[in-house]
Amino acid sequence: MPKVFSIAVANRNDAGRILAAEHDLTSFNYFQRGSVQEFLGFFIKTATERTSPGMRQKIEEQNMYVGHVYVRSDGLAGIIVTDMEYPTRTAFTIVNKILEEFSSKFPTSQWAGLNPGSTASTYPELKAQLVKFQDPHAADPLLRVQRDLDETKIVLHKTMESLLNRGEVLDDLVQRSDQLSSQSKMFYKTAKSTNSCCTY
Amino acid sequence: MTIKERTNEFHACCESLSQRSNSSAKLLNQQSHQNAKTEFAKAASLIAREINATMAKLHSLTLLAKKKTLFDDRPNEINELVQGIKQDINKVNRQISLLQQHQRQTALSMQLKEHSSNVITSLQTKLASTSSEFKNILEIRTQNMKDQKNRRDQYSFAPMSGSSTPQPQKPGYPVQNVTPQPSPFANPSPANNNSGPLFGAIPSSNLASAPLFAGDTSSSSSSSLFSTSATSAANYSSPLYNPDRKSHLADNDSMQPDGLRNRGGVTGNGSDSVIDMGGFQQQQLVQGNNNAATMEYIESRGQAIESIESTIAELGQIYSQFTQILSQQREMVQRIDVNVMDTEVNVSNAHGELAKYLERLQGNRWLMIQVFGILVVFFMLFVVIS
Repeated sequence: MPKVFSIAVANRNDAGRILAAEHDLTSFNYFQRGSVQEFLGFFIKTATERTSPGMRQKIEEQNMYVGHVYVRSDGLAGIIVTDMEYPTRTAFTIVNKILEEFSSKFPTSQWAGLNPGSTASTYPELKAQLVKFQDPHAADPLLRVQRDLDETKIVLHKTMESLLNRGEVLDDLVQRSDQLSSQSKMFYKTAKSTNSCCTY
Repeated sequence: MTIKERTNEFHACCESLSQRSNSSAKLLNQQSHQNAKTEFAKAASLIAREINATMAKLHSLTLLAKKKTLFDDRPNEINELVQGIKQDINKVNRQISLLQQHQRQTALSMQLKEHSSNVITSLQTKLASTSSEFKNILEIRTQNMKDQKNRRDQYSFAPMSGSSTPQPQKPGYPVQNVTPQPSPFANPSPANNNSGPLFGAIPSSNLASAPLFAGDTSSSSSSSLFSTSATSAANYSSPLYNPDRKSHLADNDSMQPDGLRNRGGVTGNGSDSVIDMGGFQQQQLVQGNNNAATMEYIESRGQAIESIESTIAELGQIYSQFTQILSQQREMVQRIDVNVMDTEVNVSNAHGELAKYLERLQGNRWLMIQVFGILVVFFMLFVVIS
């Protein structure tokens, strides 16, 4: 089951300062959560600093999780940390979407005033989106379309099968009706012949 | 009669009048109404001003985008303008919807309501026209970029070396800005290799802008204009360019998987200025830095779209097979129908014959009785006489 651990937006021009971050740490032990969150924050900051503007990067760590980071040309960076199963393309699509929303909601002037702690109050949609994107199909329209098309194909195959069955049944019916009509013809001839003899 | 300035007296009169009737609640009501109205008017004028500012930006973007020269292209400015305009449009959109909500909430008289709704409608139409112009500009820009690339292809040279560092780019270039003619350089390999990554660049820029557009969640029609236009532009470019890009990437053996940068790194083949121009152009066209992850992302998008396309084609095929089989079966059904009708006719005729026979039989019985009676009489006669 692909999972998203956290989504964050950071400002690369400001030494990788995190502007907004949301984490989903329910899969971790309760006592581990604090340290995991700290580590995620550090990871995000470092990843942002190490990526040059206009570049996308995928950082794999210890076979446990992957960070997808995309830094836009104006310095705004979007990072999403997922487990190994999450498809890369969907992750980058999410990053693009989040960056777009973020930049339309907060113009550049407000960036200095944001910090990850206040994300819940200033940017609550991020949490909703984090929950929504746990399912990669919900996030990526391409995946959704592909899945719908596959389901449609399955339905069509089944319909095709039943159509072929119908063909066989129709074939059977044709033969039987043929037989019926010839038998009724014989019946008529016999009846006619019984009637034909006038002499007793 | 001298002209005397009585403005101050007039103001004083007005104030005294208003104070006198200030205690009545009706006036307060009216004032609050008027306050609401003036608030509305202020907000509407703010929005209109912002729309005008956005249109001004759009005009400057138009000028930039319409430039046809090969080198004066300023992608950074253009991109910044594009982003700025997008942000502004979003903001104006939000403000209009806020205003609409606000207007619905405050209780105003019928006329004021009508007036305010008209104002909002006009603002929305203005915004919609702005965004449609924006879309046109973006389309023009992609068209220009394609043309530029074509023109550069005509003059740039095909082969590439293994060097991965880009040469320092010089804008000086001997090519004039005329309609390009097929030159000896425009042989199939540039069509394969050169066009590949450059086309790959264009869908990357379009695809990058497509999710940007698709991420616009505001509910007005302008956003739907965006998403349809941008996605249509992206889809239009990708199937054309993907096959080229793939073939190029297969051939190239550069260090980095991005063939784009390596274009610029060709040394010694043909004139240096030609090659430099190629690299320079790529840097202009490519929106992001090239590295493995970006290429992987772009490739995976291309693959996904290709697979979707093939799935849809398969579905089409399945549907056509359906129709074929159905038409055959229609024939069979018709045959069955004919047979059953024949049977019915036959059976009813036979029934008629049998009925006739029955009648005959029943009719004949009386004759039989008569014949038998006479026979019995004759028999009795013979027995009695002998």
